Amino acid sequence: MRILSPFSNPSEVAPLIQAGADELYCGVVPGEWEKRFTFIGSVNLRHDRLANLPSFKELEEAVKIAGPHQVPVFVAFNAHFYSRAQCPAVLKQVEQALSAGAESLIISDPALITAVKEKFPDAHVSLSTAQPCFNSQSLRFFKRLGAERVVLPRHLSVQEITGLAREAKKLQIELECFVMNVICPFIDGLCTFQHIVEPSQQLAVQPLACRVAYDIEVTGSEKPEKKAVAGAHVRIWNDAYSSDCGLCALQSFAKAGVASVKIAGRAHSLEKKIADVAAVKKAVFLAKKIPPARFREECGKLYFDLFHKTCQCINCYYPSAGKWKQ
Amino acid sequence: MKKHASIGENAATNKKKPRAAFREKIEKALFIANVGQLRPWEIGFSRVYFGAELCERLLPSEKDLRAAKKFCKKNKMGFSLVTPFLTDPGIEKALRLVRLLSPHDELVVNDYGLLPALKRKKPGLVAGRLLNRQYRDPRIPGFKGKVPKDFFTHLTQSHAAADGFRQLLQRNGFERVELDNLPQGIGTDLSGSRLRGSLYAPFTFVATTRLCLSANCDNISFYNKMGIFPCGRECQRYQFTLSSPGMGTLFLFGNTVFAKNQRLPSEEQLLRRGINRIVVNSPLQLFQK
Repeated sequence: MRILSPFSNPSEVAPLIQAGADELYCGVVPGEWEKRFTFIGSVNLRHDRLANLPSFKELEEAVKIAGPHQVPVFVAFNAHFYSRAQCPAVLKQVEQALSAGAESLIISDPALITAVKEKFPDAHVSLSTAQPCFNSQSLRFFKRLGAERVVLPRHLSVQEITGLAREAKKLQIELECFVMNVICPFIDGLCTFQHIVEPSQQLAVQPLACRVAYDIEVTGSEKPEKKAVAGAHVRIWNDAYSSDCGLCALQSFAKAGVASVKIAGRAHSLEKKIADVAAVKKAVFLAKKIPPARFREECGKLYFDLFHKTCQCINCYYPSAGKWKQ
Repeated sequence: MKKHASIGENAATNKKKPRAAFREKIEKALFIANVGQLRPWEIGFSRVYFGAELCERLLPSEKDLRAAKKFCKKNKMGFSLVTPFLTDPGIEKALRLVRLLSPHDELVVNDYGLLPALKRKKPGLVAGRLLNRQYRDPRIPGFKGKVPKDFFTHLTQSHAAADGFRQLLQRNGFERVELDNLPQGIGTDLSGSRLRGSLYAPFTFVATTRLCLSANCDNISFYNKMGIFPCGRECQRYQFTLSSPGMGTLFLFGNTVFAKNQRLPSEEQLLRRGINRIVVNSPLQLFQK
């Protein structure tokens, strides 16, 4: 099982490989794209400057550092869709990414997959989590379209992933699962809130819509005390920021044949990225060596070291893998 | 005709009549989850959308589907089965319902996984709102003049405005594509394609999840817990209105956040863009009682 780490600067490549990253991914938002579509309309699903490389020159640099270590670099082109005005520019960027040495393109728009496969038949395509693939038949559909790897949605249970992995094996398609940071309250590809995290012309930065402390009115015929509990439950995401983890699922993933585990957080500091890779590396190693109960215990310790608190259900990617099973 | 008409408003009440060529072409459909919900609504609608768009747990039983189809046949109404995004068990459940459809019925697909599973004899295929991506954040109208023009235009589009996606839909047998009534304006123009469009109103889909906020919401033992857990269909008993100064008013029905846009473009404007159906989707699309 490989470890896929984010990076957002070529200078991060060597230390991340040293920490244990087997694969790297990034996004590129060139200046001309930013000028036309801003970071809110980013060519990939990260909408902040810090999370993206500014040009394909930096990508080429990164590939040059990673290449001798046999560490492939993946590039995200996973906006929800590209409109008619954007398609030519995106295809040009795809060409630039491939010329710079990108090993794989992370794509969500099925029409872009088709276009890329027509123009660059040898390009390796990973289906982004932004094109949610919840069932075996979707694996089949996207395999036919040209995807060699599928990044599964965050919102799948370990049991469901195990089932999909059986089908993926038959179809000879690789699966990639999230294992660290940034559990989205909504399904990536089925959330149309904008991330306004970078100022754009006259538009100021705004909070993430899924974390806003809304005033909540509960309607229904239930008793007021029940409604009060329900209203509080709906506020659950307000304070649940970014200490998310799925390490406990690694043993199941290894057994199921998941090809790669993904660490989210392209905009994180290098120190945080290195700590994440090292923790996942250790957990992958332990997953092969110790029994499940002890493994979960060790994952708990790794979590504490990373986030300086004990884990909670709200921060768990795969609650059914461990102590939160209902 | 008024530039904007409220949803459900009877065309007969409009002072100025639309030109006949346009008036006759818009079809009105009602999205429901239970046949019992049809009674007060049957006048004025010529099609029923029946099923679940956003949660496979809410897919109807085969018995209910038969009853809905029977009602439509009796009342000479078109019938469209709506299916959501699906897990493997959900695909099986959806296929059991699809087998009951006739060739003249429609199947609204919101998961590509349903396509390889369909047999040769297919109902009319419709690409649902989850396949046809749009930018539905209710803050977007406020971007106008504050972001580059190219970008704002992009925000009015849908995936179906792009040639490559249209071709992909047509290759897969789709005849229709569904859109939300975006408050920033509808930029999608299907008039030059073989696809026809449906416009959902007044509730626009904004975001959905499997980490359902309604599931177990009144059970104190789920305090601060979130996951893909079994539920007691709490979505049938509770609805939530979310408001904040920045976001305006949103609605949480079941696992999904909706916004509301009551202002419809004129029928003429819609038909010029190849949109010839309006799907009225009151919260009835969720409630099975």
